[in-house]
Amino acid sequence: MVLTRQLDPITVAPLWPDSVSIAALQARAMLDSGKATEADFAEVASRSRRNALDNPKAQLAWDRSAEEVLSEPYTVAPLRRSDCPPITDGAAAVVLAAGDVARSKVDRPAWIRGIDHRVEPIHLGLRDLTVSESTRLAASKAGVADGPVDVAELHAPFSHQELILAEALGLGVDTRINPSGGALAANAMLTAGLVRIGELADRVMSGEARRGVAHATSGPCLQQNLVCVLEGEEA
Amino acid sequence: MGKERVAVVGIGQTKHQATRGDVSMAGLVREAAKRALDDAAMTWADIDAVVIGKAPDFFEGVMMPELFLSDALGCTGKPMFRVHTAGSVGGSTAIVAAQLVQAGIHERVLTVAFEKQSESEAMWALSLPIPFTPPLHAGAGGYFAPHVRSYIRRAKAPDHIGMLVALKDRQNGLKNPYAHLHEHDITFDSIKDSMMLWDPIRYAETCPSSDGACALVIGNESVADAAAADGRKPAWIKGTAMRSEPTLSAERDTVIPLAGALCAADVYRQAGITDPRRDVDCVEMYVPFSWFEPMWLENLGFAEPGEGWKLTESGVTALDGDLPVNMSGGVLCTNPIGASGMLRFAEAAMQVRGTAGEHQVDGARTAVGHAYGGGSQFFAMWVVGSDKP
Repeated sequence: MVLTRQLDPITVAPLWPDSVSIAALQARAMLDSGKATEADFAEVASRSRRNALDNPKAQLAWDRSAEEVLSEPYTVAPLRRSDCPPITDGAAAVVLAAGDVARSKVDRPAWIRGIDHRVEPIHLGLRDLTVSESTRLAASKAGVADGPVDVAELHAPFSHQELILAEALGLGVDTRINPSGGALAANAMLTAGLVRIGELADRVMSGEARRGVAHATSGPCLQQNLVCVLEGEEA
Repeated sequence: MGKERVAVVGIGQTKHQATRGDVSMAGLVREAAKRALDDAAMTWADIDAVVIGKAPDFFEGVMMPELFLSDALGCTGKPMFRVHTAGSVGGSTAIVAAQLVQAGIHERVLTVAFEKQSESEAMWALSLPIPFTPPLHAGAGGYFAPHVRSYIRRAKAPDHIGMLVALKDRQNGLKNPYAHLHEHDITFDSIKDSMMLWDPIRYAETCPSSDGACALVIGNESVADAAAADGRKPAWIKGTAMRSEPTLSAERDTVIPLAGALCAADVYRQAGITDPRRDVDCVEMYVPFSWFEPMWLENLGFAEPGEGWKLTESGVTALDGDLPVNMSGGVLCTNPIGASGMLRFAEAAMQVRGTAGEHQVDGARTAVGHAYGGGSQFFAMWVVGSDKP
């Protein structure tokens, strides 16, 4: 409930909406616009937890089909429990180094090729909740479209938000989204974005991915978004 | 270092008072920001990024208020950062904004710091509850009073020094139209007769609780050159530094904190200052309780240990003295906590721009802004000058 204290203290917080209900408004807008169905949400939830089976640091991992997810009752319609993130304790740390220092420490540094973040108004009524204009703008500044995106680690705490972000980032079918399981598998809120960068960096440093995108968000319904492009050097 | 030259090209602040009931938090920050933009002859559209600072969210009960304030500050579609380093945050926020320009990432950055203390009760928000700490003190004054007593003992300072600081700062505040306290009838005796709150700190030697905001526009060299060509003098930023140390470390010296001394040494080195007492024309430092003036004079290298109170007593730190300190009236006249550090940095910039009005120091060319926060844990400083570095 503490997230309610993050909303406009005069016009919205006194109504005391909880964070799941706020996200559900966005999910409803997705359905009403015809951009997605509840089955699309369930696919994201199912795939994310299945991916998390390979992530020993994940909190929540299982193998259930989208049909099974759809059979759950609503938590806050149209969101089901599996569309929502777990409540997580966690921390993350990333070490940054420049140029030759980075090369001396790891065989294959994950170079930051672009990083940018943008914010939108907090008021839900001032935004089209089915798109993420700030993500699109940050992606453009960070140069996401300048090369292929092998992996995207997106900070999408709710299943429908992955769909919004993938569209805003211009990701195609060749991009593997959230191989770690993403925030649906572990969501220590204010560090979940840094976890995305770390997860992507691991994959770039190991050579599993050549180039990828990490994303972090803050505020209700994807108000503020950061986009980071990481790339490995060809040997 | 490959840094871009940067300067303050716009300054704005609100009228500070105990309760700004006429504006919301959003209205308060916008008032300061609009004045800074007007001063810089810019509009919201000219700004590349916005950096917002304030002290603990607990003070107003809004978590991460930068999110809801981003609309009022014209952040839509722009990068927006929040900075938080307790009472020093106004200074740290200005430094983060300056570094975004120094690094060449942005050309024009708006930075805003605020507190609306009337929305809650900061004194009790700062009084840590049992069982985490014993109930030994109430508010920041209770925490700092032992440090002051330690200073008085070590420096063999006479009792009246704190009262002299309070009198000077309150009289300086009379010349500052934005100051919260305008105590026209204040005298040495009225301070002496005021209630002892946290021995040896009397009521009249403490800062008020204020609502207020401060804003700066920081630009790169071409922005600052254009302002100068247009007759609006920039305040060139000659050095910035931040240092911190652990509050509860048993071996630390709270009278002359190492982090404060290292912060000063770093910023002077960047600015080419070898003898601060001689090279600096005026200082705006964070003095929430009167005795911190002599303490910080020593910590920042303006006096040897044990000698700071002599500068205060002999009038060196008066507005017409050889080293004026807290020309604006300082934190003792105005304390919107999150903004207090930025107000210090802003006053230093106003002095070297020659725009400080009745509290202008004649011919000020090099000025120091200083802020501290937490339990004397965080330190932030900058040196600004009238000449391009």
